Amino acid sequence: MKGIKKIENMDYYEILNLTKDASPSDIERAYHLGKATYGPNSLAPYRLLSEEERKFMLKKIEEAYQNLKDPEKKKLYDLKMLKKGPEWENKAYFRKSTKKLKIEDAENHPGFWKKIKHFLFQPPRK
Amino acid sequence: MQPEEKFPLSHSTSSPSKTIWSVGGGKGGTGKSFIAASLAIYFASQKNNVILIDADLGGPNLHTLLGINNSTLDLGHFFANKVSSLKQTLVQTPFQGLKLIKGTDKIPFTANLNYYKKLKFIRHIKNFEADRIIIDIGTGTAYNYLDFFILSNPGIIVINPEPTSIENAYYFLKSCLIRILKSYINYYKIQNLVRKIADSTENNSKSIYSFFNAIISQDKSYAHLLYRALRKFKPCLIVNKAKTKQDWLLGESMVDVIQKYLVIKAKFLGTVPYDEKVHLSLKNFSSFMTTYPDSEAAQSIRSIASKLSKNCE
Repeated sequence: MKGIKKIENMDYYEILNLTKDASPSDIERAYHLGKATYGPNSLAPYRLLSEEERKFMLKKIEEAYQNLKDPEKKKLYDLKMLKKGPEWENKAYFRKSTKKLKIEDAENHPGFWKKIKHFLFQPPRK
Repeated sequence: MQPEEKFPLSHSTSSPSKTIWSVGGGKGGTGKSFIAASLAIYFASQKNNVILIDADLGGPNLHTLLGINNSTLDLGHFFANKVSSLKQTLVQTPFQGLKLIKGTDKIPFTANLNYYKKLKFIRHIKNFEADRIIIDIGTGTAYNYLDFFILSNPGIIVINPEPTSIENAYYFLKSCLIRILKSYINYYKIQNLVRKIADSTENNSKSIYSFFNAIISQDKSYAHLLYRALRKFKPCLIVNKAKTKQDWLLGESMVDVIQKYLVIKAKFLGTVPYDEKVHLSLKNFSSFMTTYPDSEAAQSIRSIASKLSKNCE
């Protein structure tokens, strides 16, 4: 369920409420808004966040900004996100791992492949 | 099996040509009635048929704001079954296109509305023929006020840039969340699931994350259902009586906090600056929007009204 994420699991774009094609001025604006929102004098987090949560959020905002404001760092981060891949749900409930199966994982049935080959390559019946 | 999705608190039955907005917020004195009346007057001036309902059952004021002082049928008569239809309590205001349903100041204890009268009230509201229906709901988190707020599309919270107002607004939103979840849990009869989760929730944390993570581990389909119910709740926010630069940023800040920590997709409509002329117009029993149309506050309200209209298209 997209949206139910703890702060520590959010990516930098989610922290700053930005899309991946955000311009440098968008990033700058989002950073200043984030600082104003979670800063020590802000009323917005009043009674909803603890002091610890507020400081943690500020730290994440700073981290997000430092990584996204620099075009080279942003590019590297975007690449890292791409390699990580989308957050697909693991629908393969019968398997504990989603790593690629190797042929060695298959159970050993003697003559199994011979039977399959014979079935696949048998000449058509006249 | 995927549970069939139906809304127990149907908040999406308004036809495209009719919208129902509730103005609430949890704390008194934030300017809810003023905002509700101003929006109603503005929309009526744009050739819309508008019905304004004073559902502040404990302390109605809209009739004063609109300059209606004569005695007429009001909500109290409807709840006391002295009239059969809510339409009979409609009162024409001095503003063309705008009708008012007054709150009662004669029949006591109307605020203690029972469940059946509340349902009857909501049913009659939904049957109105009007372009815009604006409901001014009362303060606090009584079930009636929460239900009126959840019924509308969207509900509008009015806050002031003060700690007490913000605190009450968050409390009001959390109450709405719990009310929505509870109504779905009761409707789908999954109380046992929730009770099991309450026992096993990590460190007895009552946060939204813990709740949903625990439900996901037990039954993913119900977790999706409850999550979708929450995502349909999209309140709007207005900051009233703003004075400083920080006050002007408050609305966007609160929307961000609400999204990240309450998992609610709120929308910020705008900020209305503090204006002494609002008090002057109240004391003079004149409408602020028509008496001071060029003031910054009136311009902000028009901008908010325009965003509201776009929100509903």
